[in-house]
Amino acid sequence: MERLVDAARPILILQMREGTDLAPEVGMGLPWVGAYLPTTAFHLKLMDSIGRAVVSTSGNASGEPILTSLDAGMARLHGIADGYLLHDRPILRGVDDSVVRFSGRHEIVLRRARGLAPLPVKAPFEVARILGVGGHQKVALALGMGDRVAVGPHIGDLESRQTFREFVRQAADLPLLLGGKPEAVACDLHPSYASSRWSRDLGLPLAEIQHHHAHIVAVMGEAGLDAGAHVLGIAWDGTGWGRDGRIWGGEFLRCGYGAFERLAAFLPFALLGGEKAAEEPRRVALALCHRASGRDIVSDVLGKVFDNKELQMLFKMLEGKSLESTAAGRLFDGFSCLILGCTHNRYEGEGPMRLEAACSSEAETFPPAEFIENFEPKEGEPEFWIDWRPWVRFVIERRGDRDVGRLAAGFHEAMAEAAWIAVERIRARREDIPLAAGGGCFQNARLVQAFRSRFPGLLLAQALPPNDGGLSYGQVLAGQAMLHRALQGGS
Amino acid sequence: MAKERIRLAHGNGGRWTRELVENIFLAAQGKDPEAAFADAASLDLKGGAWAFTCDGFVVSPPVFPGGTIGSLAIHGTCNDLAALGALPRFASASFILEEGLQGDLLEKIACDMAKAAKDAKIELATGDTKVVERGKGDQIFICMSGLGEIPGGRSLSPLRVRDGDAWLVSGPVGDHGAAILAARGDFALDVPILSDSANLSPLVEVILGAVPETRFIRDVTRGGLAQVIVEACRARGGGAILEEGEIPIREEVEGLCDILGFDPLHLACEGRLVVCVPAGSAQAALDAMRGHPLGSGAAHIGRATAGTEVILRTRVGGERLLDELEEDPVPRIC
Repeated sequence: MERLVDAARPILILQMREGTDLAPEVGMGLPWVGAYLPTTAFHLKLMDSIGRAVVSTSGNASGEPILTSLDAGMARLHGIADGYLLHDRPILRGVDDSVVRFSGRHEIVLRRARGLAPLPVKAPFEVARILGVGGHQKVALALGMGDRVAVGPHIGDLESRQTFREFVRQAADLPLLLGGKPEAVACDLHPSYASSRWSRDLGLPLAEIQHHHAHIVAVMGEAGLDAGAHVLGIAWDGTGWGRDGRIWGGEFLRCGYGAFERLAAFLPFALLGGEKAAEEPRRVALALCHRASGRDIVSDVLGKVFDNKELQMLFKMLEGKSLESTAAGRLFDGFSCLILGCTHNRYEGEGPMRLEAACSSEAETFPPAEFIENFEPKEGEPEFWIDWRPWVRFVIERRGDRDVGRLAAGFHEAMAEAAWIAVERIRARREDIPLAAGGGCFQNARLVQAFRSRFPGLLLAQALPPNDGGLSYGQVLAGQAMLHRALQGGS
Repeated sequence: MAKERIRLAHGNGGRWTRELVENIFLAAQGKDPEAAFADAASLDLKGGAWAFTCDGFVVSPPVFPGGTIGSLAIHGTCNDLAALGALPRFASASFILEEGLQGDLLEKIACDMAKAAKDAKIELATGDTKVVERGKGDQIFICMSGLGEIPGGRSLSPLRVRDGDAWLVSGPVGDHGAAILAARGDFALDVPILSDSANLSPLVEVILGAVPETRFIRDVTRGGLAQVIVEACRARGGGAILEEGEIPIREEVEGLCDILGFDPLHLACEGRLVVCVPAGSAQAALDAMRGHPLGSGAAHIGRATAGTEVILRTRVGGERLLDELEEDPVPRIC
């Protein structure tokens, strides 16, 4: 509760009470709601006169930056807002609210903005003036400054041109504010992230950091591990360009600051329709079922959520060559469809959020994952794969089971248990090094709880988000490690 | 010939080659055997400016709904010339055949190609044939070069584009790419998608006749509409704003893209033009295009701007940056 009233006044994600009279649309069907206290004098006056809680939403069109000028605001919100309450102080810089949630006593920063940024984060070693540009979603910038890294506030998803413009503006602004142009830039390895393309055009020494490596390095940095340290990093999220031509996201990496080794990953599955697979959990479910049990079972289990023409086309795609993924976030999507029937994500992460929300305290015991040694690994492939197919078969057998809460909880426990066995397997063949976990899946409080109970001393993100908002800090540190010769040891 | 398969000997320059050329290529073009004797064609070229282009055709499958690699090779060559305002006159065709290619497939392609050339009034002046071992070539590749005559006074270039000029497209985009995807995936579609493969030179003449001050024309090919506009803007050092709602895309193409996860703006066309004209001439250009069968679906899709970005204004009022094609399909948000 201290978080609610502290100086930063973030939006705190709270559990809604039974029998609340808050409209269900506010939480979009989830049992959580974000709540915050007034953050400006204007708000205080407003709330005093209203005298009770109000539901609010940010002043911007979906996916676009918060509006900061009167004219632009009124034009863009035409049709959305019915009226305007204005003050006469010009807004110099837009700032989003920060968003925070808890898993037990462990704080998870979902969005680092007003009140929390741009505050410096300690660097575990000297860093040169390296600009970290983040990825494609939830982008925040970071700039190396000797013993610290300045991490800027949440900017947003670069898919929207307005957000990209804001990114470019801040990338010019941040170094100016903090004493000088960057000496180098660190970006994501992805070939077509807008932030990566922009970085490549700068003509500065460039470090391209693999997405999941950057997540783990960010955790290492916040933990203060020294320059020569190594961790076993569990990087779980929905996406990230991998070195083997697949989309990664369910990774077990042995990480140093400057390099990493890919030890294990989830068994790859097809991403039918590329980006569409992220928007439609039913596509992931289809690929998982097909791989686990074959075509006939798929028609039986998922026949109702596809029309026949679509289904036939998707089967054809499965027979051919498809982009593949190892992403844990996509597994959450797929199981949200198999367990709860989520077919489409109305917003990013809806399926996995609903799966988390559905968890009862009692978990169904899932069969253990299987492990497949990769005897002839191709370039970029791990030493072994973690096979989720027993879980798919288990859940399919139980379709029609009304106690979805136990199944949802069981899936979360199964994922954490598989991680535990994988870690044991790795420790049997490698040295014992600290364990770190990062990536967007660790926004899931239930998953975090399942991990913390199995891995005492687990390193997690602290003041930075575990999602892509924490990438840029990791990029700066990894960039320093990779470019140190070019930069002659930093400042 | 029809029942035979292509053998390595068909490419060795001896009797087999001669018979292949006479019985398939020359027969398709209605030419006498003597036409095959010289290795080069002697052309009587008028003075003035000529356009010269080359292009390789490797489409798979070689026969697809709406055309073959043969007609595609002719159309593509004509279109490269027409984009400079040239009238296609001569072409050369170099065939690389894979050992084992079906004779009747080659015959079908050759006839289709000859017909396309005749319709386009472009002469296949010279050609060559090679055969590579089985597995070393995907059935058939065709390498073309083309010569076209540029009537005096024409100068089409992205450098002539000015801020505020109108961008037009001659018809729905993505048909060719979608047709190929559908053919490759062997999808059973409710509404079949045909390639838009066509010789656009007649349409170019109609446009230049109606709007002689046209700035720039380009045929949309690999990389789709987005690629052409991004490249043109980059060449010019300017930007553009396109209206998503104005870009014509067939419903069945949208539907296929939806399932496969492709962006229709990045799908190839083989019979569509992107045209840039002064804003005041947009209506005249549209009317001219719509009056021609190849341009019946023409639309005014946007305008050139001073910025450096190519922006797509979406149907819901948002704005998205258009980039050139990277790999496909490479998901950015996944």
